[in-house]
Amino acid sequence: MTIKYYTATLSILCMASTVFYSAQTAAEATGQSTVINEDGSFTYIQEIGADSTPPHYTAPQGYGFSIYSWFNEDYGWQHDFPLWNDDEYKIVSATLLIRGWDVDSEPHHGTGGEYDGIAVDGVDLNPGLLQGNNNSWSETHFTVPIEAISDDGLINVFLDIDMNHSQRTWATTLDYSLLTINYIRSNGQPPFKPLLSITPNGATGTDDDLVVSVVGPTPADPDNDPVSYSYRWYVDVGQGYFVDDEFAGKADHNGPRVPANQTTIGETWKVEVYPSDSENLAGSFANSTWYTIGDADNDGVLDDSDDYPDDAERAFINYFPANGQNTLAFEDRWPHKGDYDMNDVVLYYSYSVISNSENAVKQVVLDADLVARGGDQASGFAISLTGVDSGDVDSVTLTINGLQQSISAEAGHSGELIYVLIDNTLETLPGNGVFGFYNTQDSDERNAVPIRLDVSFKEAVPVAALGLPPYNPFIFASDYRGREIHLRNQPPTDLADVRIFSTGDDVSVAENGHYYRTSDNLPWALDINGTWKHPLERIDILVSYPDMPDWVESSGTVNMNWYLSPRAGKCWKCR
Amino acid sequence: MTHMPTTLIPIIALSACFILSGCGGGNSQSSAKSPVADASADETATKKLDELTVAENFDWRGFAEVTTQVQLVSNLSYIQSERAPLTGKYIITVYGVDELGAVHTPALFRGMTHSSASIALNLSVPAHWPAIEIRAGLPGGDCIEQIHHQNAGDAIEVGCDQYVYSDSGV
Repeated sequence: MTIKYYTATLSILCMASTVFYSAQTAAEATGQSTVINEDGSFTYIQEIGADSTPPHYTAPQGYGFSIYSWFNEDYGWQHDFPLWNDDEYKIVSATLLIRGWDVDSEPHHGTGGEYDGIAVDGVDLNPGLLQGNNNSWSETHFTVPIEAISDDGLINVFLDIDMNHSQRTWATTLDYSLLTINYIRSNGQPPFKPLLSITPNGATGTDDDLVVSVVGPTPADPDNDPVSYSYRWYVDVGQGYFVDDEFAGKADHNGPRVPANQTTIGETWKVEVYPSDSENLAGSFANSTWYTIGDADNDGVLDDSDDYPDDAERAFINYFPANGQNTLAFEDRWPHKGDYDMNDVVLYYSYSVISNSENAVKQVVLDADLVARGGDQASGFAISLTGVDSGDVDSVTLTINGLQQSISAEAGHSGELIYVLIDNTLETLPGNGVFGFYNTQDSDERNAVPIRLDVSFKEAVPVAALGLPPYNPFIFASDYRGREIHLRNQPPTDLADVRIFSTGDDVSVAENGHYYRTSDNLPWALDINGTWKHPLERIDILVSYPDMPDWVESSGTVNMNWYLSPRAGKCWKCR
Repeated sequence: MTHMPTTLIPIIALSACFILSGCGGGNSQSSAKSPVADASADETATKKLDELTVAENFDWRGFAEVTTQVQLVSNLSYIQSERAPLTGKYIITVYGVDELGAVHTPALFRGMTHSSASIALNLSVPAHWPAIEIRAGLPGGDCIEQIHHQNAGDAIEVGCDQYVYSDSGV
């Protein structure tokens, strides 16, 4: 493989007027030379390959240059430029050419191709991968950032093979890495890094030309030399990495504009702009990236799939239940058994869970209807969200009966967020001159009280931390905050009075995660599909729902729709 | 001074409870009952809730929680004898499936895989729906997999009729 290189090197030497350095020694790169070109500039070439030795290259055992290497056989090498800190010389251009075999990065692979990334001094280069085809040799040209040379003269290159896979899928063999630096003797200073402006600067559609303009700095060159610019365009056509536009099957654009007819929905375009002054001195290049075409908020979810196409922090809205509402029903006598009419506090509820493109939860909206109060004691109703605390909250609003309420997280908790939505059910669902309870007696059919809690987080929260709806709802005694009543096996909050556990009929064992259950495994609260018609006052739930016993005693294997078959006259609105 | 007959006192008190505040309510320890409750005796009910035999691990919720990792794989390509995993970000939609095999809308969940074509799925499924259907939107069409959620385990593979090419043999 080195024969070809030396042929190329020989061609350069023939064109040059003077060879003033050429070497191949045991302690150096495979080949290294500097020639003086006819225009007085210099070309420094350094090749590293399988025969190179430290510090340029230390061959790994079983893989590396000239060996077919896989995803877990990444390796690196080091180029250098001896004149990096000689002020007499200035760099005109610096490129890295990497020659490889069987680089399967054709765009038709989508995200499944062989994508071998190249980084210099820890910074990923563009194109974002070696560009090549199946079972053939290919050469990929990278522009080396000037600052990667001027910092210490060492250009540490690292090859990350088959970045998209974690098992043997794609392999490649590198022939060599060739660093070419053109430089001149000059007292001038290179131009400044350009300041770019792009249009569209935001949402980008298929009708938009992509245009980049250099808008600064002024002056563009410390010597006030005229500065010209060249352009290199890249596109990610769905591979997850940028490749040269021509490699992706586009035209090879080298001006400041890509016409709209060259772009397609789902593509992301990028440009690098290289400044060069009248002495041909190269400055640091700048780059800009457009929004993905057809993704107005650029969150990675195309608009036609995005429930919030203009909000980068939100992408999907999921509902629980998927349709309609579910029911929470509480007995309020914990730690003592109640009468099991399960109507002391009854709510219908649904959650809207809004997540970002990473499926982490950005916002939770609880819509509840406080339907019934069959208890004669005042209860509060609250919700606990785990894995977050008040510092994680961006905004929160509470609306009851259409009126916005003051709301803030309850103090005294750590590692969870508690919002008390109702302080006193006797006040929210009062008795009247006819009915002492609220919607638990026959013909008492007053309106439910709508409640909306809307919580947004500063940073989206993983579902694994936050859990699932209905999260951890609970009631508590209005006159004694420590007496909380949760769904079975849902933990109490920090404000619960743990002295009450394992008293009365409760057999909670915190160490086992057993909470709010009796010795015969009965709960104090139920979470039921749909808008359940709760039992009338003091009617045992089994009387109201005769299919329930088999459901319970079969451990849920029969009569799973028990809640849909009430006995007429035994539950609210069951006629 | 007149004296009220002592037998009338509890009757009056009870009436006040009904009319003014319903002081019985959910309190089994209360002496008061609602009018409906007075008529609640049901001859057909053989048990009360606290007379049931309930298994230790019985889940009173009407939902099954599914926590699993979904990976899109190829039905056509194999790597080391395993269905080759796909890569890329795809929209995933999960539906409930009832005992008759009917797929119910709206969806239980919608999200997007990570670039590894995998997604951590964590959702509640109504217990009376025995299965879920996972759909992955690929450019060439949806990949569809139905699985009983009780059998979901830690990982679910969703097969797609899409080749995955490689240097390691397909």
